Formats: sequence, structure tokens, C-alpha cells
Amino acid sequence: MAEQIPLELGTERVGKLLKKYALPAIIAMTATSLYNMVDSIFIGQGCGPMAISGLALTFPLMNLSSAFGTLVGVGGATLISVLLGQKNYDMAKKVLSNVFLLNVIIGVVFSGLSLIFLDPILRFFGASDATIPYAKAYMIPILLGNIITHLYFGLNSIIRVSGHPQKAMYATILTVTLNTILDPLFIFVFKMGIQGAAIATILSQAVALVWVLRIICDKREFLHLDWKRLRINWGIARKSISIGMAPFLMNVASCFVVIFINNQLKAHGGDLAIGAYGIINRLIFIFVMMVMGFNQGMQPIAGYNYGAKQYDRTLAVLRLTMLCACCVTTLCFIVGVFFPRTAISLFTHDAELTDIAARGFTIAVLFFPVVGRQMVISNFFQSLGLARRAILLSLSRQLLFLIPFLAILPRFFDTDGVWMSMPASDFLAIILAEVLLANLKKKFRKEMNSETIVESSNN
Amino acid sequence: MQDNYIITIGRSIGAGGLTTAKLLGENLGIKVYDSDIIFETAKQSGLNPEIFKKKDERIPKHRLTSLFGLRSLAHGNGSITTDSIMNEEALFEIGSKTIRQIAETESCIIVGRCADYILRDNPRCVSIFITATLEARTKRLMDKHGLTEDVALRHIEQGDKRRSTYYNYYTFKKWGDSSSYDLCIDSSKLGNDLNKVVATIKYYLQQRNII
Repeated sequence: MAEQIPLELGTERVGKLLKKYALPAIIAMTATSLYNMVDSIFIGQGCGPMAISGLALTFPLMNLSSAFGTLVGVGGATLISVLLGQKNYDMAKKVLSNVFLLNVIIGVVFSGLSLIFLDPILRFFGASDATIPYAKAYMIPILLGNIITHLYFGLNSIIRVSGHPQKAMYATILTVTLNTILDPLFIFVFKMGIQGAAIATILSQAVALVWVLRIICDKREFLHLDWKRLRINWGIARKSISIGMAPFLMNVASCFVVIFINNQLKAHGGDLAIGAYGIINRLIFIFVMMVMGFNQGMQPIAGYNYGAKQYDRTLAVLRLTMLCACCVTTLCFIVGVFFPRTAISLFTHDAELTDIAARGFTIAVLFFPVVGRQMVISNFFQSLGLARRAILLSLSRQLLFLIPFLAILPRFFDTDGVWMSMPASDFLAIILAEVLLANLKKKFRKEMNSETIVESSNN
Repeated sequence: MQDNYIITIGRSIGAGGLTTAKLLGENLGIKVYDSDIIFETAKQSGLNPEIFKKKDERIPKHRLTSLFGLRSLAHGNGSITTDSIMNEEALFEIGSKTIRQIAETESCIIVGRCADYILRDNPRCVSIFITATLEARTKRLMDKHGLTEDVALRHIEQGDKRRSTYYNYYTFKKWGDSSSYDLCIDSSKLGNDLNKVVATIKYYLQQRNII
């Protein structure tokens, strides 16, 4: 159903609201980040340091694949939620059958093209003779099972918006659990190496997909998939793709940033540096996802109170979220600066890889005690519907400021330069965020003052 | 007990839809909701009317300026939709609820806002679309607002486009398509006399045993 707006957002204590809205989001985010970590951990422990580099090379390709998923998925889910709000079940069913078929088409086309050009693609992504066998061994089963992945994610998000968010969550938990059980089974017991990890991933998604399909084909539900009436309606397809275009482009942009990082690492530090980045990426990801959970909790509260012109409450929830986020990112900072080797030992015991990763981790998180503020502020603008500033802020840290540093710093500092470009970009992004926030606060204050003047002159 | 009725009026720019609605409302002694539906909606949701005003009869921005509508950000393999509660779809949903609520409590006329679609299952809802020839519409705008012909034409083109995009986005139907309405009237064929349009509608309402 389309969101109902609960009135408590404007009256209840801000701290209590944030807890209520953020907690489920944080749990979901942590589950997602664990899902991403499991493969890396087992592959690192079971297949050695070169396999970690091989896996890290595939991240952009996997991201690109999920970007294509959002291209049809986000729009489909949005349209269905609008239609269900209007009880327009016939049209919602048409959108559902569209989502199904588009996911199949995109899955097949993406797999086909990627499999044909797998070698040149991976080379372009920064693969070397040493790492490409691992990347291919992992990517081939993943690409063969790509339709399963697309259908599972696409249909699960439909289940989420069609009034069964809990079932959608169970499906997520199911895949994470299965993957955690199957990974060691395939890697250590069946001795299938990195390929086993990929097969385990696809298998666990296949099981979850069966369950998801059972829910979505249930004829007792108003919204269900009708096998006999599967067809593509190009009008609906155009609509949902135009909604999904923005997130798609964002995903593609972030892919290319990772490709650039990997290539710079390969040029200045070699294959192991890429693996080190893979590990650092996974570790930082957990903390970033927790911050994202807080952000999701903040969104309705900040958005509603801004809409109700309760600026003091809007800023109060921002302050509280920034505090929570900075606690999380500071924790990441502490781990990265003081215990990097302990964290990295989750993935590898190789001395050389650990050295590179530990140094990189420490440098990368240098500004993390305050970076939480930047992430929250950029999300804050988004919850207020100030999309332009939100997108500027979110691109600034991960793209606009990062790319020039990435291009220049490695010339002088080699691998360290790649790591340094991250805190450098963080630093500039924080300043930009604080400036934009200060401006917004000024506007709030002005508006509040002018309103009190109007009120007092009316009296 | 359900003896109240609702008349929804869709209208192309310059066809005199709003004026007709006001005349009809006066004639029948019922309230006319136009953009003031916003204030009702705002009152019920506790939000400030300005928020709704900015997005009144407009479709989500992300379709217009694709890059600036970020709805979800990718983080690793899972992509997470992060969405503002102030998004157009949610506001449309609040607006629909208000319209349904009004439809349950009083007889009234609702102009625009996809009301014909929102109330399509209500047997006591009569949906009307009022249009006119482009010439008549241009002339009406020129007379009413003192515009030059060029400005009036541009106004019509942009306004129609905005309304139809909005309507088509939410209803999955075609704005102004006769199959969506109970009654379609070309006001220019009635000599641009809106009182005649009102009389026509009244006659229709009587035939349908609404009044």
C-alpha cells in the first residue's frame, strides 16, 4: 500500500520516533551487508589472497547487474504501490507481469552479453593474468543464474510494497542463512573453490525465489501473477523505466568509480591491492549500511516535520541522527586505526595482503569520526524533497571530489595515493555539506522569525 | 445512508470548466472544490498547505529531470530504496483519501485532481469532461486574462500537457478520452454559453436520477 502518513510524526518525542523507525531499517541493512560479506569471508579463508582480488574485480559487474535490476524494479514497485492505494488491481497485475517479463529479458540479455565479452570486460575492470581465472570462475555461475537473481530481487521488492514487508524480510533472511550454510559446504567439503561460492549464492537465491513465487502466485491475493496473461505492455514499461532511470544512472556512475579505483590500484600496487580494497570495502560497508539505517529512520520524521513547518523538530531529528551516525562511523575509525589487522583477519591470513589492507584501511577512514554527518546531511536534504542538493552531496563524496584526487594523488604517493584520495574527498564533501546545511538553517530561522512577526502583528 | 452525490469535472485549459463548476455549484447549492482541496488535505494530514501547492496536479519530478530525482542509491550488491515521505506518490495518496472522505460526507463538485478516477467505484459519482475548440479556448483566455494570442496558445499547450501527464501517470488512462467519463461536453458547440452547459449537465443528472 502507498504510505500512510502517521500523525505521531508531528507530535511524539523525536528520540522515540527515531528508535521506532530506524531499528527495523538498521536490521535490514545489516542483513544486506552481511550477505555481501559472507562470500568474501569464505572465499578469502578457503581460496587464498588472489581469489579475494578476483572476487573484488567482479564487484562492479555485479553492481552493474543490480543497476539493471533497479532500472525495472524500482519503477514497478512504485507504480504498484500507487495502484494498490487506488485499489486498481487489474492494472497492478499488468504491472506485475511486466516486472516479471522485463526482469527475465534484462537477465538474459545482460548474462548473454557479459558471458560473450567476459574476458575483455574483466580486463577493462583491472584483471591480470593471475586474477582473471578466479574472477571468471566466480562470474560464470553468477551470470548463468542471473535470471534467478533478477527475478528474486524484483519480485521480492513487489512483495514488500504490496502489504507483506515481513514476508519480504523473511526471504532476505532465508537467502543470507542459506548462503552462510552452503558457502563452506561447497568451498571446504566439495572443494569447489571460488566457483562453489558462486553456486552457493545462486542456489540460495533459487530457493528463496521458489518461496517468493509461491507467495506472488497465490490466487487468494488481490495482486497475483497470472501465468496465462503474461505479456509486456510497453506503455507501462516506459513509465517504470523512466522512474528507475535516476537510480540506474547513480548505480552505473558508482560502478565506474570502482572500476577506476581498481585500475589505479592495479597500476600502482598490483593485484593484491585490488583484493585489499575488496576487503576494506566490505568492512566499511557494514558501518555505512548502519548509518543508512539511521538515515531511513530519519527520513519520514524529518520529511513530515518539514512539511508541517515544524523546523525546530526537523532540526532536532537531524541533530540526533547525526550524533548516532557519528558514533557508528567513529567506531569504524577506531577499528580502522587501532585494530585493522584483527578485522582483516576475518578475510585473510596472508601477510602481504594483510599489510596492504591494514595500511589502506587506516588511511581510508581518517575522517570517519565526522563523515557520519555528511552522510546524514545528504540524506536529510533528500527527505525534505530538496533533490538537487541531495544529489550534489551524495555525488560529491563518491564521485565529484573523489575522481580528481584518484587521478592525481597516486602519481605522487603510489598505492597510498589511492587510499588518501578517499579521506581527501571526504574532507571536501564534509565542508560542502556543512555549508549547505548552514544555509538551510539560516533560511529556517528567517522564516520562523518572519512568522512570529506576522503572528504578533495580528494580535 | 447515501443520498449525497459527487460531480467530478475534468477540463481542458480555457474551456470554462472551473466557471461552469462554480455556476453549477451555485445552481445546485453544493460546494465546489478546486485547488482548495489542498487545504482540506493539509488540514487532515497536519502538513503545511504549501507542500501540496507546489506539487498540485504535477507528476513526480524524477520523470522530468531524471538525474535529480534520486530514489535509491546503490551500495554494493543490494540497492536500497530510500524515499522521502514528501514524495508525490504519497501526497497523491493523502489527497485521494481526502477526496474519498469528502465524497462520503457531502454533495459537491470536484474540479480536476483525478477525482473521476479516485471515485470510479462510487455509483453516486458523475464524471464530466468539458472541452472546446482551440479557437474558443484561446479567445476565452485572451478575454479573461487579457493575454495576446501567442501567450494564450502557449498557456493552453503547456497546461493541457501538464494536466494530461498528471492524469495519465496516476490513472493509467488517457486524459480527456471519452471512455473515462460519463459525459463529455464541447462548450463552444453551445455558443460558449456556460449557462447552457450547466443546463445540459442538470438535465443529465435528472435523467440519471441523481437530482
